[in-house]
Amino acid sequence: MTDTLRVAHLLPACETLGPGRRGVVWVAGCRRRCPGCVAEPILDAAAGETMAIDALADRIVAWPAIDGLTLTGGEPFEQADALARLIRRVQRRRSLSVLCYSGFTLAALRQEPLPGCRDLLAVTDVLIDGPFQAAAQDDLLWRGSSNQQVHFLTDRETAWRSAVDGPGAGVEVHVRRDGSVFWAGVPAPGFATDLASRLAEAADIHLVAQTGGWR
Amino acid sequence: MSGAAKYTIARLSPALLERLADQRRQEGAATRRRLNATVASLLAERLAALQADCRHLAATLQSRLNEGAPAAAGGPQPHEVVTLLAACEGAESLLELEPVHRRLAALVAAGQGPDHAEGRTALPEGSATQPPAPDGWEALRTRMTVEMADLEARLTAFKAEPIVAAWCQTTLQDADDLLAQATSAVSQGAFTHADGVMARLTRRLAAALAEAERRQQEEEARSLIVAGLVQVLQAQDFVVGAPDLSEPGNLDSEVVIRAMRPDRRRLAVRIPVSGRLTYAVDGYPSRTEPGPAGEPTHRCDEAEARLDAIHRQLATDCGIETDGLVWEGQDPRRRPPLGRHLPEVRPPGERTRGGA
Repeated sequence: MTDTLRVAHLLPACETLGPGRRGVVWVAGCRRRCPGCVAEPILDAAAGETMAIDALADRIVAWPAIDGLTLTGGEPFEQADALARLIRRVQRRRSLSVLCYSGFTLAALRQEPLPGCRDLLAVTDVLIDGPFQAAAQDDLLWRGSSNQQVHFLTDRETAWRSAVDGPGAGVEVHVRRDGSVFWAGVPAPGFATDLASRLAEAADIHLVAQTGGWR
Repeated sequence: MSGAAKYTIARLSPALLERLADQRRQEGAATRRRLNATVASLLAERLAALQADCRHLAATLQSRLNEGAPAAAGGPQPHEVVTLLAACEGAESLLELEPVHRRLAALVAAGQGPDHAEGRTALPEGSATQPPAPDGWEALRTRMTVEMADLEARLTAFKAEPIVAAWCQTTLQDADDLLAQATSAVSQGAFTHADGVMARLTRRLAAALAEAERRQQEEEARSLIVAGLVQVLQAQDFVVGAPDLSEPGNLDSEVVIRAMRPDRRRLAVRIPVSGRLTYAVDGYPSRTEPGPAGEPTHRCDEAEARLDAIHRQLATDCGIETDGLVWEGQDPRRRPPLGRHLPEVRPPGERTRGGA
């Protein structure tokens, strides 16, 4: 049991990674290596920063005007125990729905392939499961490929059930005053490369990758 | 994993940076010209007001002399009133006019007896009702008063300058406090303290302008980046909403650009047993605005208009009357009366309509 998490990025509000307006936590580290994964820069746990669960819970509770929290990464279930405790600490102070991504299928997670999987599932309202499969790539709501399923594990977000077969939610691009740029969503593969090359060509603006996290 | 995120820094090309810097230099020069013109105008107004007061005071003294008031020691002498009035008319700066005004005020106060002698202003050295001040004291007070007037005019001009007002609110509030401290110190004759406070105020104003220009240039660079991103996202076949500050009204917060596929917009309607219609709204551009208490509220005019049209059609075609739309995060000022009776917690993105 650990009181810390390896966190890559934090976004206090986002409308492309789950129902409504949500805070998002990207954990760092995923031992799976799905070809074409768009989160390649944060698959190494070293890409993240160690954060105390209590401190992270305090931050999440303070994020304004959100309906829920999305956990992604990286592979959230590689830090399932710590994330489950994070959620419980947040839920004691604020009621937020929880959407969690995983490269494992729901059936696999129920077999507890990693410590704490059942605990994290128990506090999750919506699970999007399965690895990204380039061959099954599609423009789907909150997912990158058609093998990935949206599981409503509780009644909390079921109003969105009919929407999940529709097209993707697009992307959200955040720009800070210092010119740093961060995007969130599940666009088609090649989106980021295409964006960067078009931006350079059309506007003479060059996106330079950073090693740090967006926090 | 899903939910991709890349963190990058957008670098403007050297040519763009140079263009921005050049633009800022030109606008900076224009800002300084505007500030100087505003200060000059404010000081001219102050000079004119002080001259008008001098004329009024001189007229009061002249009237007393004409009525045959005895010329007391330290009181008005006919030739001095004429000399002071001439000095007033010839004064081209506050530095010249301040001592004239103070002398006239002192003469008027002296003529009204001891109760009034200090009413308008402390008397200058050598007056009938106050012991002589140390050498140079009066000149020092005049200089400080004039410098204060100059600083006050500059502060007013800074407040009127859009980029300073936009980026330096805290500095301007500090400057207000310093000006009040300096004014109080000068009126109490604590000139050394006043001098120190005024020096701080001068430095604060200079720093405010530099800070405002730096932040404005940063914002102009960000605007270029945002415009470039919007253009490119549109070229990638996204429908792009108007860029928004993540914290409305806070220029330091992130700009958020929302891009979606053209076929993204959808409304899902759910009719539960209770008879209350519930809508899942997805893909329509939404906006966050401050509510009555500054709290963030959400609105989505396009989706609301679409739902209103559906309701009008329900009424016309089916005779079904409905009430107003209610959703979580709605500005309470826009909430229809029925909304007060609905459960507070609704699934996000849902709008409900009772009475169907």
